[in-house]
Amino acid sequence: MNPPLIAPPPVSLSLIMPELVLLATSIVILLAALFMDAGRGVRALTWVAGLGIAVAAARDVMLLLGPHLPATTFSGTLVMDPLAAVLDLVILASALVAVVLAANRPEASPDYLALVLWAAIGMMVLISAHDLIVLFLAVEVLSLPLYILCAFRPDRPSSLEAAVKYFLLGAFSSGFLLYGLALLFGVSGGTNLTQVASALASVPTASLIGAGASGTGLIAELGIGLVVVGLGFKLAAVPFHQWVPDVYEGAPTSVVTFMSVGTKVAAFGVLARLVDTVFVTSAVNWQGLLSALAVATIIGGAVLAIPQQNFKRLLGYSGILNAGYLLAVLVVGTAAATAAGVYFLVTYALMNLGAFAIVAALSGGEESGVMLRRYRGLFYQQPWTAAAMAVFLLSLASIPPLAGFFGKLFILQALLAGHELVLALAVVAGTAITLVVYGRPLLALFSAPEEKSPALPRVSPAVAATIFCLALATVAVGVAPGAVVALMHGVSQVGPLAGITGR
Amino acid sequence: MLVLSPLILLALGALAPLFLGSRATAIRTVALGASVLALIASVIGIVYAPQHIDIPWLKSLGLSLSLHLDGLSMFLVALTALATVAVVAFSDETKRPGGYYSLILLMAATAIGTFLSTNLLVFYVFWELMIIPGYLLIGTYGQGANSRRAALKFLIYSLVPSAFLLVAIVALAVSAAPALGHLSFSLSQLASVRLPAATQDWIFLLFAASFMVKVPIWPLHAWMPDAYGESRPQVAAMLSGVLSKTGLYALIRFAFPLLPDAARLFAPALAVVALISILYGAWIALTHRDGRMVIAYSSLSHLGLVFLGVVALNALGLDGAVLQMLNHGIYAVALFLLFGVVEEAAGTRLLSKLGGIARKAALFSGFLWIAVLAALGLPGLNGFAGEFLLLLGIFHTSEVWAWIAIAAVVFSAAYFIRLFQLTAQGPTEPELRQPLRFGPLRIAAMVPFILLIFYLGWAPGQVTGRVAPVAQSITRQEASTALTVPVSNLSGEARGL
Repeated sequence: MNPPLIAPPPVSLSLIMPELVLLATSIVILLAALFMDAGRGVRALTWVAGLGIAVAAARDVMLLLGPHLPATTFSGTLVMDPLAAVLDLVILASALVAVVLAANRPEASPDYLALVLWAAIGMMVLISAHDLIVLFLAVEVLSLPLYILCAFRPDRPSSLEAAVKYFLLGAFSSGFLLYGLALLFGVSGGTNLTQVASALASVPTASLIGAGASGTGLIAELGIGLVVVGLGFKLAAVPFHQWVPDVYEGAPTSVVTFMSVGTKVAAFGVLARLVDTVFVTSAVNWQGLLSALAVATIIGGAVLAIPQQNFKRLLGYSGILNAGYLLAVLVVGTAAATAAGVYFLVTYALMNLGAFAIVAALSGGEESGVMLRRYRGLFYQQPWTAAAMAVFLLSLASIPPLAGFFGKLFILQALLAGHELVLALAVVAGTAITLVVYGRPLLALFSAPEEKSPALPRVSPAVAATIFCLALATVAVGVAPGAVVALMHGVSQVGPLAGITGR
Repeated sequence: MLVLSPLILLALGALAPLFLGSRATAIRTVALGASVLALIASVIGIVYAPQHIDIPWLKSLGLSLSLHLDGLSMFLVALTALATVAVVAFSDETKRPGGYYSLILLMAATAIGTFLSTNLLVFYVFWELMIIPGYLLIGTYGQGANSRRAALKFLIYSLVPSAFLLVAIVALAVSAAPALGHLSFSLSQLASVRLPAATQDWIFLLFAASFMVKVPIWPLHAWMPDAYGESRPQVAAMLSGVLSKTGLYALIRFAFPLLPDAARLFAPALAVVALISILYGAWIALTHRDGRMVIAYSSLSHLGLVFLGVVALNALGLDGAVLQMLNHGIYAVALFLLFGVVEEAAGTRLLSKLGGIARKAALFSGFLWIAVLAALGLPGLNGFAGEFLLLLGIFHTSEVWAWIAIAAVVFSAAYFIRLFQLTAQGPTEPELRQPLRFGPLRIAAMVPFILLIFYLGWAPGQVTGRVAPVAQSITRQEASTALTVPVSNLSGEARGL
């Protein structure tokens, strides 16, 4: 008897339970919205969304602490390992902040909540993707909801402009990414990353371009290059960063908060996985490509951030700069370096979410509320909010002993241990420049307030609680980094995080 | 716990404004109380030193909160607390008191942290943190029209080298890790490893650049005139009296024991830079029309002399350097604060518009006179003992350096007497018709300074005797024995000064 033509793939739903919970929550929200009145309903649904995210996060933590990781499912197209589990938690946290921030703001609606959840699903799948097709689908699942979310303030032209800009450039980058994936498929004849990796490993190691270059080598090189371009767009690496300031300025602040962290985490996760599986086996000079991107991104982001007067644009460029650090640490390619990147992302998420949350809360929906000069003298109106903002800014500037400092320190250590002196100096140069960037808003907080400007709106209790938790975490992770490192140590006997413990 | 208490007291005092709103008197009282308690704690610390605490922080990085109170650090900790008391007593910020007093206390707390740390990374934490209050105090509580620019300059000059300092620190630890068998930032462990000369060289240069900016030493002093000129006299007193010492201290505590070969290699070059600082500072101080700038540039010159004593690399020089750091802190804080009172009354700092204070405020000008005499190195007052010891140490290493450095002593007599003459003597200028604000609190805050000027002038051995063992252990660690033997004899004599 012949074996059945289509065998059911081995599927473990428990591994993708966090994603499934989010999906179920989003469907419940959309269905329930049909039967509820607009005003009070959204409030209740916000709670539902928050609850869904919390359940997903709890399941994620159980996976992280459980004995099953790392594991693959769906015929090896999805992988769940400590890297994915930790990054998923960061994404869930940013989704939660986005949901909390949107409450009481014009963009609050059932559609908003569902779109945020869908984008989060796309990000989480992307980090777990172990197959070229799944990878591309995940990128689309995360991008499409974000395009719509950027347009969620149709009363403001800038919001629509941001959405169109993001959509057009995003569509281009998807094209690059798809082309690159197709070329990799062409070289290897398979879509699974393991297959691609083993095929690339057998591509001749001689110079890939020029005399004696083999056609396969050239295709592999092009494929990797195009994939990096496509993902570089999502990560906002220079020179694929042009969309960032405009989109950040125009899109609703709650959405920007979410995408500034979530997209970056997802793009870093998938790049780390590609480096770990595919790139390291190939003879392609991917280190050179990533190094060049990293240096350009660090210096470009830092320098362009200096003249910004708009807090959202400033944080946008600061996000570009931080993407540069992540690219730099990927060049080293060791497990310890990836772990340093993950640690940095966790700290970056804390301080970036916090800073954006304050901007969102204080802007009160009006565009002038995000200008730096409106923050003058905030310390004398709302001392606690200003103190929290100071903590986030100082942490972003990697002033010790806040969370950002140890993120930067681990990256420096990884780079110096990997003998990447140039990248280490670029990281330090970027840090030196941004101290000036973050110094200006910091000075504004404590300056004498402007005479005429109206008082900034007060922060609602839920948002204040969020900000307080983030600020506390930023201080605590900095003062006691050992706790976080120990947590990672406990959950990563074999995973890529083992390196951060110095093993 | 005794080690930490001044730091904790000041930090707690800095948090108080978050709870006190904008009640200026309450905030100031709390700040004054916190700094007085910190002073008491640090004086108790001098009695019970050496003290050491070691709290594990992050094991995988070899990072622990190691704080050490010994002959090298205890006087500087006490100086910081004393300066804070006086600065708070001389301040009366009413518009935005919360930020002002907490930043002053934070600045003092972080400076104390840098004096106490014996773990490089912990030191770096305090070193970086110290910059932020300085930046904010200059930028938001400045006096001049360009205070924001001055603050930015201060920030760039401080933070750019210290960003590279972090690379140097991490590189030092990473290169020492194979020899130690594990990553460590602990001073005592790192000092036991002798790195290859080439590695030492570039790490030392990054260390030295970062530390010299803080002193400042020519040619890295360009932030100084702006920062000292645009900020309030009280802030300038903190910057010059306390923060400048952290750079010199870090050189003695970290750069020399950790990188002895590079220190020896670069010492002559650093000496040249120090000599230029001495002469350049003296020349500008001699000609400047702005009274506060005279004090600022005199600091450049005097701290250049201390720096020269440090790079002389012998126990006597180090002993003198620590004594003179303390002395300079005392008279510089007194001068900046007292001249600040004059500025406040006159509304100007131009020496040509001042004069005749002695006639109407005898007590005040008496205090100013004593501070000036201490600063110009009158024998019997504290400035002399430090200068003498420094010159002995410098002479021991190079006679040429010593002969040039003596110019500093000659010049300081000239410009300080000019400062006093133009401020206190002659007819009372119209700008100075208003009464000086020198009330009981300010007098009480200034009295300890005057007493210390006399006391340390008569009994410098109280300080040098405690410093000498540490200074000798540092030089013995990094130098050949041939140098240390005669030096230890000399410092025995010096103790009886």
